[in-house]
Amino acid sequence: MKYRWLVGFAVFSALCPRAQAATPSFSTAGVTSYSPCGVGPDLPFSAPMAGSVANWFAFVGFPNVSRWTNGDVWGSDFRDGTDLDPGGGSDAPNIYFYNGHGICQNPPAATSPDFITVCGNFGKPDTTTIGTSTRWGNAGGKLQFAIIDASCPMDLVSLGNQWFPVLQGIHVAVGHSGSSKADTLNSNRRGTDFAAKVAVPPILSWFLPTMSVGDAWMAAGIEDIQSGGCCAVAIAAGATEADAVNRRDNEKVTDGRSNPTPNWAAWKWVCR
Amino acid sequence: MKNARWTLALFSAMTVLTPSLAAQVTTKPADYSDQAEMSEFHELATRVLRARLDAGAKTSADANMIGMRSAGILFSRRLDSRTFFIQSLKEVEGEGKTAGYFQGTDEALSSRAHELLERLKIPRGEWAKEAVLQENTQTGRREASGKVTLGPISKGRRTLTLDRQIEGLPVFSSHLKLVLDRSGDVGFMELHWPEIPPQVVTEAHRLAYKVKSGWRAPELARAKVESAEAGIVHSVAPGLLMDIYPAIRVVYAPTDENVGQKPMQYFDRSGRPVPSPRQIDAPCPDKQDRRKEK
Repeated sequence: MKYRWLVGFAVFSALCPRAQAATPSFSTAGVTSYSPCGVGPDLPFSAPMAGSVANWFAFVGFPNVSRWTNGDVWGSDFRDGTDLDPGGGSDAPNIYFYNGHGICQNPPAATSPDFITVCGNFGKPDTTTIGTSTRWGNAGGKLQFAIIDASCPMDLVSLGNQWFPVLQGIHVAVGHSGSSKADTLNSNRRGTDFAAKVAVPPILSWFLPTMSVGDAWMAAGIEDIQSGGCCAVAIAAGATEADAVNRRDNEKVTDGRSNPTPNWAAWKWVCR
Repeated sequence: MKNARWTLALFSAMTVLTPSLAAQVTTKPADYSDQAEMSEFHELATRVLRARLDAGAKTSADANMIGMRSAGILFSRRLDSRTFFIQSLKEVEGEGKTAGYFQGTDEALSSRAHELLERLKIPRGEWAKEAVLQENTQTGRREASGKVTLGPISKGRRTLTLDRQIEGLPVFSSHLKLVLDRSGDVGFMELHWPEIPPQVVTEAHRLAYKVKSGWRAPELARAKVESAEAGIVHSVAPGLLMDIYPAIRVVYAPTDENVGQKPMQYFDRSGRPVPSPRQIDAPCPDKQDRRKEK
């Protein structure tokens, strides 16, 4: 009888998961050095940017799962079956930030695949076809927010074909659509500006509100991209259309929402 | 090498000096008390927001920020930079989006942006390229068969962006970003327009002269130089530090057109990379080394 209040509190807590701010875990990966693999060119700011994003999230208080650069970022980190590796897999943390090369078609078609390309010491091959090999949020995968700062891995024309299979429990993914004529530039600010918009340290939280992942990318993802068709893209999954739209527009990394059933996807984009 | 160190030391010193130089171009308050600071900030907020603050308005200052929350609006600024933030708290909580987007013309959006810049005393001569970016939205449903049915493309909110230049030199990291809500009030504004020390502008002019006079960008394997432009680069808007450097921004295009993301680098007059402007001075986590053979 005297524990009735305790049971009541437990039920209330279970029914109101959004009432409590979550502390998501994160991993970062940045590939500057592509020369050892005979591809490229090198991207001067990718590894430093991944480091800066890691520093910011750590400053906010998020626990780090891994933070790899250059040869320590492996192709296998992005492929289903090996992406749960707690030593670096992209499905092991709640937030995963990648900065490096993608592969573009000029121009892409609806059936064109999207790629992430690294230059790993192990975990070959280095190139991952996202639509056929990447599955996030399945089989115990923890990834909720994928930030893919790699040029073309979210081509708008092929988004429906290439990204629906990927959404297996992940909440929101962001990236760019572009071409060799209108591409992303290897920025020394886009990643940290985005990180500061989605995760605000306590010392600044009264002055800078935490933005949703989708809105933060629409604001920061347009920095250092070329005009003429390069676009910042954010996609979210949901059980219903309204759920997907709500997550796309409003979900924050600290919401602690449960994984969506990916019946629907909602996306938005803004182009230079 | 000695020259490089000297250059680095000079601009590090400029970074440190920035607040004091900034003080020369802003009006000095007559009273340095906390109360006077808050009162001054209230006056600024009233002027900028075109609104009377409600009785429950709260003002606070901490670290390098001062801010005010009133009637569902957060107005804040950095104390070490001419950087302002306005955010509709309803928008942040998602309520604003369900109410719809600003329906006015691009000209009306532009006009509101200009008004804000003037109220915040941003020199008109520094306003550069302006653009209105249209957000688009779409949904899709996955049928049991796996077939994906796409919905129509709809128009979302619009963001006005305005770049900055000083004496014809681009300030790559400065900007205004503005979104209005359905009623025409500010839903989101980020104005990042730090005071730039005159020595930095002078050096940027010298760099521009060098670019015109045949300065050659360092080569990068598997890439060719797409553009080289002198200007000024500085720290991002949200942060605890403000570094400012004159630099030549070089954009490279991969020789293989299928490789996405173009390298970019900022160089000094000798062709050495300038330091990346910092955001925070937080200790780096231990360096890791992933040794795991497959």
